[in-house]
Amino acid sequence: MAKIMVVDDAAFMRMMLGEILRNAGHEVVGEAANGLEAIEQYAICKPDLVTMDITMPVMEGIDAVKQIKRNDPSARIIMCSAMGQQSMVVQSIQAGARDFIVKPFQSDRVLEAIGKAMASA
Amino acid sequence: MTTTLTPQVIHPFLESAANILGMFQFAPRIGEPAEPAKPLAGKEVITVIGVTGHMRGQVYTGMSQKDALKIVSGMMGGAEVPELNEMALSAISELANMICGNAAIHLSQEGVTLDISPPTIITGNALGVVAARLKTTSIPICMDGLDGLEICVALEV
Repeated sequence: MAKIMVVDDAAFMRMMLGEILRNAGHEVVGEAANGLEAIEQYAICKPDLVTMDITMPVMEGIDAVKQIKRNDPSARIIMCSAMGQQSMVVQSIQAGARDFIVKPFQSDRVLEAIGKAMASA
Repeated sequence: MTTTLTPQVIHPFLESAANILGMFQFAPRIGEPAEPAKPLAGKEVITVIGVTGHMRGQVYTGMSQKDALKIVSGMMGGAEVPELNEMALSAISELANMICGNAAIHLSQEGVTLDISPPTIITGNALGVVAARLKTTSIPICMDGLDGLEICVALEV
C-alpha cells in the first residue's frame, strides 16, 4: 500500500480521492491546493505517489510536475484533470507524469493507475 | 473580430454537462438554446469559468439551491447533503470545471484549443447576468425532479 499526496484546488476532489484511496488501503500523507503547495509538501511528506490536478490557481499542475521531478527524478506522479485533451496528456507525460486520469473518474480507474505506477520503479 | 457562436461551438459544453450529470445518476435532457435578456435570472448558485485560446469569454452554470444540494448528493454517491457548506460549494465548482474541461477535450478534437480558469462560485438571491458585453446563449439542462441546470455561454470566436 502506498503513501499518497493528493493535489487539487477543489476540497471536494481531495475528499473524494482521499476516500477512494483510504478505502483501498492506501495512506494519504499530504494534501495541496495548488502547484506551489505541492512542491513544498512533497519535500516534507515524501510520498510514494502524487495525484496532480492541472487547472489550479497560483501554479498549475504541469509546472509543479516539472519542479517535483527536478527535485526528485524518481517521483511517481499521476495527473488527474478534467482537461484531458491530447496536448495536455502529451505535455504531462513529457513533464514526467506516469499516467493521466480524466475527471470525472471511476474509482477503479484511479486504483488501477496507482497500482501500475507503484509496480514500476 | 467577433463571429456568431455556432451550435458546433456550444454543443460540446451541453454534451459534456449531460454526460457528467449522467455519470452521477441523473437523466439529463438538453433543452432549446435561447438568448434571454437576463441570463441565469433567479438562479441561487452560479459558477463562472473564464475561457481563453481560440475562443474567449466565460461559461456560467446556474441552478437553484435545492438543485445544488441534490446534484452534490449525486456527486457523493447519494449521501445526504443537508446544507450548502464549503465542501458542497467545492463540489459544484468542480462540476463546472469538469463540464468545461471535458468540453475543451471535444473541441480540441475539432482543432479548437481552449484553456480554462479555476471556477468562481457566486451564491445569493435574485442573481442574474445583467450586462454581458459578449452575446450570451442560455441552454437549459432538464432533469426529472429538479428545476434544471442552466448553461450560459458568453464566448467570442
